[in-house]
Amino acid sequence: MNKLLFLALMLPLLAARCGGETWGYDTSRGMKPIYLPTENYDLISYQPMHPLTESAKIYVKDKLIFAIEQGEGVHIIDNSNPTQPQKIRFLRIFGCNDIAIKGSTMYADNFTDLVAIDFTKLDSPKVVNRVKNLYPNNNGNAEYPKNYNGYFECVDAKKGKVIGWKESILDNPQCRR
Amino acid sequence: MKSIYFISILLIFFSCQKDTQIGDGSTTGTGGSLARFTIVNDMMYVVTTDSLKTFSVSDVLDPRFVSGQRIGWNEGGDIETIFAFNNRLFIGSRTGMFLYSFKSGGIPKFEGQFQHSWGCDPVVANDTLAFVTLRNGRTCGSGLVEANELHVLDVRDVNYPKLLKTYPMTYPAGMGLDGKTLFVCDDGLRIFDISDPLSIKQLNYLPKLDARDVITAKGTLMIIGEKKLTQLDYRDLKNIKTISEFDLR
Repeated sequence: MNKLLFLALMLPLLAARCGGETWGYDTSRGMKPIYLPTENYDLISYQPMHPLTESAKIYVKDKLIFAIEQGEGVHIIDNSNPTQPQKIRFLRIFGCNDIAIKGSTMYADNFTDLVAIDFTKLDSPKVVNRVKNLYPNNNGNAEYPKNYNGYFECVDAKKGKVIGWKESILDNPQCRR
Repeated sequence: MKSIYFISILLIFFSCQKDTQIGDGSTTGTGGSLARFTIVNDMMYVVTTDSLKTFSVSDVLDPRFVSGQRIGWNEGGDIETIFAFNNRLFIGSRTGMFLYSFKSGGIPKFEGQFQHSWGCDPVVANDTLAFVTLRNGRTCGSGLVEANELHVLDVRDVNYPKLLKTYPMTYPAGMGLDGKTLFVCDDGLRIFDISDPLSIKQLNYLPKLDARDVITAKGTLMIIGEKKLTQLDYRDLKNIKTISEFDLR
């Protein structure tokens, strides 16, 4: 009887495992849509710090480390003391994929634009230049991420227009390609 | 008495914090191997999913768009990373590596490419060799062919990058190169001696490290993972020391 119960419990596990493994997909990671914000996308400002839960990119300049949260902005980490780094700011740059810094100017993509941000004063960064419409919105209105096979979070039309996709940890995704 | 010590420590701490600057002058920062932006002298190169864009940043506050070039043939594009070494750009896509050369202030020129099977693939390189990791399954690749590999390419002839050797990996991502030492984020962190590209040697493997991309900086390795930012002292490759582990959440 115990054996039967054990089998009955194991079967769905086995089935689930086979379903996933056959395709070599992992349901826990995949692509997530980035929606056009309801407010103006070009507002770049410090926002309250929040935990970084998505995998980020890293950029280092002098005593500062920048962790780029795809689509959202940049977490600034003070590394003056490498044994004890500290998160000091979160700069929201909507649709940001990456940054680079020369001198005290940061360049970042901001949805379809490239922006130059003057960081001479860390407390009050200023957007000093904006090159508009440089990046075509390749993934605009897409119902699925292009050139991608695997699980992704289904588009929810109620959340607005999809302007891109980012790699993310997914919660029980229902869409796959 | 103790409180005075405490207060002075606090004061030093806060005064130090105020001094933190993004840095002056014209030095550039450093990105990881998964970067899409790179600055070389007065030029900035940016890859989008299907193009290479060049900007002049000679006036740092006034970036100027110089040129845009289409890369690859995939509709919608599959370009992922850019890495600069000397006067070359190594561009990683899901189907191969593209090589460009550039002269100071000029528009990059397409030189050659190396095609591989479908997968995510950052690139790091020096004058003679390029290292490409190919990651499949999960969020990369077709999910049909499992190819998790490190490719070592001979790039001395910029027009014809040649595959020297393929090494099996577990699930590789970003890399860092410092002289004869190659760091590969692969189910932890692997450290290789690349003196002989046909027979690279694993010097050390830190299996539990949360690692997705790395930056090498004068004996310090900065590693970003899913949850942590780890800094390691790698001056002694056999005896790597942890400087700090910082929770990003």
